[in-house]
Amino acid sequence: MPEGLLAPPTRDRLQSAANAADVRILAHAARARAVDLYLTNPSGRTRPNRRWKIDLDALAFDPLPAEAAKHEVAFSGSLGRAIALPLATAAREHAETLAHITRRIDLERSKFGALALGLSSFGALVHVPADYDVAEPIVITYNIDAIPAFPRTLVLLEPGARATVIVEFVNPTGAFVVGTSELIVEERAHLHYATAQRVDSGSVAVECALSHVGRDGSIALASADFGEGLILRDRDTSLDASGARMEQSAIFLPTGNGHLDVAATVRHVAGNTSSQTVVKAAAGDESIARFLGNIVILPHAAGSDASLRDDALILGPKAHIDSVPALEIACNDVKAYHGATIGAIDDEQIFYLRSRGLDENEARRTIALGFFKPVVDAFPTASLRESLTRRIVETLR
Amino acid sequence: MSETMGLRVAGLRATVENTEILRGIDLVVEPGKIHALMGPNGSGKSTLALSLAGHPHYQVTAGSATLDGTSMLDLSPEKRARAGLFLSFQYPAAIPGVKVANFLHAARQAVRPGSLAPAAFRAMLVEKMDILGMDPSFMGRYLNDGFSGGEKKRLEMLQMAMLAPKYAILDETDSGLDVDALRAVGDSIAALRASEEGRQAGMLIITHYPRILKHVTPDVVHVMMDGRIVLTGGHDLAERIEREGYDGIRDEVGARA
Ligand SMILES: Nc1ncnc2c1ncn2[C@@H]1O[C@H](COP(=O)(O)OP(=O)(O)O)[C@@H](O)[C@H]1O
Ligand SMILES: [Mg+2]
Repeated sequence: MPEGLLAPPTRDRLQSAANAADVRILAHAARARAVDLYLTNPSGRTRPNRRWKIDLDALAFDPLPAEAAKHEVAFSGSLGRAIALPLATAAREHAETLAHITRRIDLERSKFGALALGLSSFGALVHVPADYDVAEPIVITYNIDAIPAFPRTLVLLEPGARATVIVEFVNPTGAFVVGTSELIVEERAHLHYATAQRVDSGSVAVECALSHVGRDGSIALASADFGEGLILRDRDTSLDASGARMEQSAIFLPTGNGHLDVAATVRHVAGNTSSQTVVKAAAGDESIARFLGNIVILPHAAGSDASLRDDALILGPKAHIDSVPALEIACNDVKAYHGATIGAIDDEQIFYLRSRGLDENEARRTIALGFFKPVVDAFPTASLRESLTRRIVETLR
Repeated sequence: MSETMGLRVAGLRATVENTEILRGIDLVVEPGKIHALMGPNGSGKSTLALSLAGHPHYQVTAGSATLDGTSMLDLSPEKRARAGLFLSFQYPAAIPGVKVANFLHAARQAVRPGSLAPAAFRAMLVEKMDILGMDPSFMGRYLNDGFSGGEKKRLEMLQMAMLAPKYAILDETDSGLDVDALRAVGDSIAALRASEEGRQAGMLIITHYPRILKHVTPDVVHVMMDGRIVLTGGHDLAERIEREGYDGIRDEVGARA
């Protein structure tokens, strides 16, 4: 939950913060316009009510704290001919590359994208040249300071390039992070982009992820969210040319009074594009989770194939999960599938395992790990998969 | 043999959702013996099996059930399994995301802790799967997830072979199986009884049809109707049911009552 003492920032205070931000990364005028759009763009969520208490259209935070930010970004993984740099350095040395990405990524149409754009002063750029395969995963680690942070992550894969990018956050308690993922996957390129985080009670983590995939290119997006804080993701993937593919996998595991809120849209702009979304959600204690899954198939996207699978386990007596699919299909010759399940762990499954000697807790843990297995397997490295499995086990204990 | 040995059920009554289904069951399966429990659909055979295994939906209201002298009715399902009871389910649950091999290992560890080194476990698995005519690819599949009826029953038999229980209840393991699968189930039971661990295993084979009994010869045959065992006899009783169905027995028992 956001700090109770804070109020939503006024326009003046947001403008002052935009004015104080690093002009080398973005000019003042563009920042000023972006923060105004933050105030006017809708969050796409319902107004607060008894269940959904937080007003996502007016988050409380102070954009202009007294101290200077000490956020840091670090990289690991051997890059070869690829480039991975802090955003400030990239702005000096790779302005052309940044422009190539930002021309195609419209952060301003997203509420939280606009906020991150207006106030960002740090982040990372990953650029992989054409037909180059970065063998090792590139790990970007954001070490967040205790004041609001607006990190932008920009990735450009030129035609035929391949890379795995893993984004990690080290958050202090009470962190307030609104970041972006701006991903361009050009023709025949392949990007595997993964992020996992635990957000403590009192912390807020928001991501606006916008992606474009070109002809015969593919993107695999994997996210895992744990914790008792507020986690918000707005993801929009555009399959721009024939043969473009997306696979999206998400683990939701809020606990305590956690609130997890994800809206994911995939746009089939061109024909013969395919998308597959798999969400496995389990809510413990009194936590709440919401998944808004949108499939948009545009008029010229014949031969597109979209599937959306969303399974939810209610673990706590007061936990709640909403799944709201929306299919907007403006073309005849397409395949679109949506399937969802929701419920508690099945008694027959528990009894079956107990009859084989497993005690009740082991049985529940085994079933829950099995439930998450397909999405855990969608993460790119063995160590990440193991740490996710450990986190799931710890959370279920 | 000691008076306490065996799977001993006496005066067992059980209800489901406040309806009495078992109305006083008396049954003793001695170590090493094969009992068949036959009876028409709905007579309460699965209710008996699930009550003995400790299914929480079934309330035992009277009677006792002991396994080699250990009273089972107050034990959790997992403690009954660890005491040596195994139930082959009529309708095994599917558990997506849990690999058969990992599950078998966890179950073996739970029921017979530390009894097999990993290499010995794998060797045993290969041997038992071979007897059941199961493809090695089974090990990487998810537990009963998308399995055909026959595949589920073979996996139940594989679990029985790997856990080597003292007493096994097979609830219609034969139903829906083709001739080959039926023979594989028979071979698997024979192999368990020929093994060091399973030599003294007692079995209660629940079946609707006498077909399976051509592959496994029972020492004793019981007939269950309306929640009671109404007739007990030898192998010839199964043959009679094969010839006449249950109607003749129903009339005879009804006339006696
Ligand atoms: N879970 C249950 N809920 C309600 N009724 C049940 C349940 N299980 C069994 N019954 C009832 O108990 C009776 C015996 O069923 P069952 O034990 O499955 O018989 P069988 O295995 O001999 O075919 C039937 O009338 C059945 O409808
Ligand atoms: Mg039955």
